[in-house]
Amino acid sequence: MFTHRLRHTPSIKILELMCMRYSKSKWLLVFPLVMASLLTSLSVRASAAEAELSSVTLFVEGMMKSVGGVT
Amino acid sequence: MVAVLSELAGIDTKDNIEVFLDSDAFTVKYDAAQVSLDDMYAAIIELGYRPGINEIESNESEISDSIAIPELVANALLDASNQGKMLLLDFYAQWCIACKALDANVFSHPSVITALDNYVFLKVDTDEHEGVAGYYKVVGMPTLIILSAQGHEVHRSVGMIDPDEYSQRLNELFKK
Repeated sequence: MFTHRLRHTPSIKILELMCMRYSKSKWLLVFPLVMASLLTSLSVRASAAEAELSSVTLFVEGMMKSVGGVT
Repeated sequence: MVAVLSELAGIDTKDNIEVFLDSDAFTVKYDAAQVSLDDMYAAIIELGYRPGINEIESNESEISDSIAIPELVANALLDASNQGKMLLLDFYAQWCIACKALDANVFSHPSVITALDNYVFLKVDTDEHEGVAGYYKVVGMPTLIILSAQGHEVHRSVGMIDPDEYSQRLNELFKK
């Protein structure tokens, strides 16, 4: 009985509405930030994986003389 | 050959192999954790090819005697000996992407620059000095060879190296 009355008190109603609005606006702010940091993290990982590749030039005797050698 | 190499784990795709037909060479981008140079050499040999630069022409001006050290290197060795230093040979080519990466990441690194104080540093263009590359049996680039002042090879590396590890190696070898 007491809680029912309390819930329907105007000040509590206002407080509830404020909390809901805050919660919605918070997610509107946080969601793009989360997405941005996720994308940044993925691109950093991709470039790190690319950077980890070593590179070397190898000579092979007579490779030029045989088309089969390079196909 | 490209098809076979691209199937090796750590190379994975033909896009990671660039062929330089005129130079009998190709550049490979690879994951060193998954595939080694030895694996690549093994695949090349299995196909019936031999890693290395083609046999030197008999009229090669750089080597008058098959046993003699090439003049370019002999002069550098003399400099090294006179200065109490060792000799570092860097075999590269203008078109070698891996060599450019080595220059940018290793030879511009402060610890390597400091370690090179004890070395005469000779860059050898393999297109210009094919005979010298053949003499030292260069099979890939970049190849770094450390020679004692007497001309004995004391260390060789092929491909990309870690600048800190390499500077440490340079310092250790000089102290010996």
